[in-house]
Amino acid sequence: MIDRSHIEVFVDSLTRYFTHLNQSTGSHSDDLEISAPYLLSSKELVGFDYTGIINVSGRHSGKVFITARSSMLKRILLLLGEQELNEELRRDLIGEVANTLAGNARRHLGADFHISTPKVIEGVIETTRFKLSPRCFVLPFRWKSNVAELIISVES
Amino acid sequence: MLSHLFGKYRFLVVSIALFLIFDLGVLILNFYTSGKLAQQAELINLAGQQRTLTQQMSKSTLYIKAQKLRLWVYQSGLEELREHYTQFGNTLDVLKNGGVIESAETGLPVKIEAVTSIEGRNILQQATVLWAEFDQVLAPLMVDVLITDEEIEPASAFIASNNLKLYRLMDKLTEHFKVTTERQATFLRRAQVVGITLATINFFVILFHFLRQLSGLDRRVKVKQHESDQILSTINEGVFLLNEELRIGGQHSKQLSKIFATKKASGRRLKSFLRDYFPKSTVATAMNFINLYFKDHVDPVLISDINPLKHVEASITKPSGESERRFLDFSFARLDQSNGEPRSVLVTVKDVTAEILLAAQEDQAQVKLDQKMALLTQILPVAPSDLDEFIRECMGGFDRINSLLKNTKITKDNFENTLTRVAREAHKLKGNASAVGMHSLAEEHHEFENSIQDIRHHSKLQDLSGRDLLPLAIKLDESYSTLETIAELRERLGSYQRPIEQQGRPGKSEVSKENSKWRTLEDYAQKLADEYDIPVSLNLRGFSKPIPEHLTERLYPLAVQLLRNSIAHGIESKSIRANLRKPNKGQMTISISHDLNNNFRFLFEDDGRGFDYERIRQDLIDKNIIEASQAKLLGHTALVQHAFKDSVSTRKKSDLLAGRGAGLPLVWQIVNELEGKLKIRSVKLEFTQFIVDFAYVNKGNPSPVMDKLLKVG
Amino acid sequence: MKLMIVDDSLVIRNKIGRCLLNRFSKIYRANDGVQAIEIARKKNPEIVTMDLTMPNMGGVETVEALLEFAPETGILVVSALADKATAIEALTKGANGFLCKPFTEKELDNAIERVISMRVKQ
Repeated sequence: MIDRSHIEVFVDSLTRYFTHLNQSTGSHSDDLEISAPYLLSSKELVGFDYTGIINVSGRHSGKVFITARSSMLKRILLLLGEQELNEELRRDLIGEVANTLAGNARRHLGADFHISTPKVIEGVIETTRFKLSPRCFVLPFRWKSNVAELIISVES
Repeated sequence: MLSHLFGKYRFLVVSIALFLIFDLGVLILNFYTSGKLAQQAELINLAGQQRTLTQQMSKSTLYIKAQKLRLWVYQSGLEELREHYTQFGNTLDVLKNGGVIESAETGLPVKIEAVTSIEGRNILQQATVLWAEFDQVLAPLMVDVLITDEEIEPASAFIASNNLKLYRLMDKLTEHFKVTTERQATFLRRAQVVGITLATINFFVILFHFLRQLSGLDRRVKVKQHESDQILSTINEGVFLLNEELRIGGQHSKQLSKIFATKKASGRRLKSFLRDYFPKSTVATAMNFINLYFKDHVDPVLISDINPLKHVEASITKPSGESERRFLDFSFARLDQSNGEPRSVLVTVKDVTAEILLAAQEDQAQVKLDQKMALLTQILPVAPSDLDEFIRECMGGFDRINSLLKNTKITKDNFENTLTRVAREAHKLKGNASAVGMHSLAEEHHEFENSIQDIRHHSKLQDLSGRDLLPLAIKLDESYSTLETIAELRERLGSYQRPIEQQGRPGKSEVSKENSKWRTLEDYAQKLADEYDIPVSLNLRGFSKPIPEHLTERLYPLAVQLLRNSIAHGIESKSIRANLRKPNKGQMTISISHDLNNNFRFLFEDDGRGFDYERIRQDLIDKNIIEASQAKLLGHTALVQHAFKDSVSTRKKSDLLAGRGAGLPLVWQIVNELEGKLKIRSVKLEFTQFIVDFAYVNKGNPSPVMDKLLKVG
Repeated sequence: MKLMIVDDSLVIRNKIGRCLLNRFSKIYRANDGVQAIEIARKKNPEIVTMDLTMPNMGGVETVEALLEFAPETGILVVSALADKATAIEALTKGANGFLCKPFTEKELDNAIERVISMRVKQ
């Protein structure tokens, strides 16, 4: 079953990431809009253009995905001062976002919450390829009109 | 004490004593023999001197005779002779009988013991005899200063002929003394060699013995060290000694390093060591506790209960920098030392993390099992077919709620809209669950509604965000889990049969076997009636012929809502009914009928208090749905319409039964789904009637219903 | 040998009293520290069972005050485990042992036996 405190920690982590991104680049902090969370059965297809995946192990185990469209990643790259917006950078960025979110979460979930280095895949995620919990938690959000999703499949 | 010491060191003491005895023996012998030798040297000298004296006496006699012949003075010769005569005689006497005499070498008086050797005495005897003859001839010369020829002639003649005899005797004596001395010296040397050899042998024996003992000791120490090393490295617990200064001892088990992920434990102060892993307050209490083990007045057996380091949680930082949570058990044992040695305490540390986590898991498993048992007791009374349908409906309901969440667009209005529709679904599910007897799920849906209420309340204060809807998704997940458990139990139970189902229910409304689900409404009504102490009687009409399954799927929730609504708001309490001269039991009727063209009529009726228009009006004002001034203008029809569309409830308190105002809007939704018409007739204090007219075509596919559901609202 | 039971609960006083009836020639009961000190001065009990949380004067203070004029007294702290630190303090001040409430008759008897023997050793 999904642990409420975990979800909250991840959502906080997500909010902090974008607030920080906005602040450091001087844009509005209320650009992040969070939509209604829902449950995803493991058979459904998910994933936008790029997805960063973090493996969670320890007392809790599972996976955390962050999936976004190319356009969002490009905007973030621009904000970060990158000139080139090539695929390599986009892949690198989505991995970095996943890593930051999980890293922040780890600070609150304790040392027994181990996280792997991020893995990046492109396009639709074949959820059957991953051993996911029967229902994953999906938090859709929008940042500067670009949609993205945070998907959590962590069991305690 | 002495014998104790001797016991352990007997060999050493005896060996050293022997060594000393040998050395002392040699020393004493040396001392004695060297005295002897000194005397022997004196004897040799004296004998040598006697030998010379014989010659000198001869010379003096000849000198006197010669001088006398020439008539020259001979006095010096006489004096010499007398001196030699006396000296020889005295010396001979001393040698024979012992006594004091001037040393031949130093001229000082020395004490001489009588010669005792046989040969010596023989020589001396011969010398004495000879000397007696000498004495005879020489004695006249010793008397006067004037010597006559008669006196000197015989003496001279005697000496000339016998002097050599005496000389030889004295020479023999000297030789004898020399030989004796030589013999004694040889003896002394041999004795010394033997003594020193013995002492040396003894020394080596001691040395060897010692070395052997030392190497044995070393070996034993090594063996012990090896053994204790082995014990300390294989022991499964952290073990160390604590001294009176509360320092960790020099040796500790390997496991201790593992448990605390440190190699630096030996010799550290326990307090500062513990501070690395536990909060300050825990360490302070622990140190006070450990101190008790060093206090004589405390019985260690009687304090183990207050050990603050039992099942204590430690935060351990690994060499990699990761920190880990571990549960540890410390136990202490006072080591009573003999001989006034300082006291120490044996400390054992055990990592009990696995046990504790396992226990927690078992607790969790127990809770899950309890939940399953509760579910089991709830599903057993439900007919398998009803249960299957319930599960399917529920799953559909959950899926619909999830879709509502998923398809929400990010705006405040949309969020509110979603909330309203989700609340309606949840309310319907609650009613169904409650009707079937699935209290666990009903409870969960009630919680779900509570969450929505909380969110609504919250949203009035600030803008709604997807974040606020988090609890809904989480609760939905819980409900899915519960339903999955129910489905799993259903699967395992297989085709269990409810005996009551086979028996049927004589004497009650006529309901066909296919419509058995409707039967459950009777139980449900009864249960609600008992719970709220409002006696009711439910009549089912028109259920003798099978009703299409998909129709039941839609009408059943409708009936549930109306039933709940009726008991919550319609039927009066016993006392009021008595005052109104109504039957003791509230009468409720559900009927279904249709014409040949499949035009259906569903009716629900109760003989309760009728619509409470004023309360609806008040509720609309209280919930700020309509301005007070406008509300006053609303007629009955308008008020009823509001009751069906807005969340209005005439019940004062919300509970599992009703009070959220979601019941009637749900009815409205279902009627819309059926594309039916809803008629309401109500007379105050008399009755209320809900009539739904609709046309039904069996498409044999349940999905359009869900599609419609998604469209509605 | 004389025993004094110090506890603000009548139930506990009665229970301890009943359990140890045969062991002691005389049993005194005090319901707080002040009363305990008063009884101890007059009757000189050799063994005392001591509760920790009591009105007027707590267990720790009572242990301290009692041992000041009767250092030979054997003291068994009988208390719940709520506050280990307080129990440890009482033992540091001179009590000989601790027994956790609730206890069985055998546990109490055993603990008293040990306190008596501790007292003899000293």
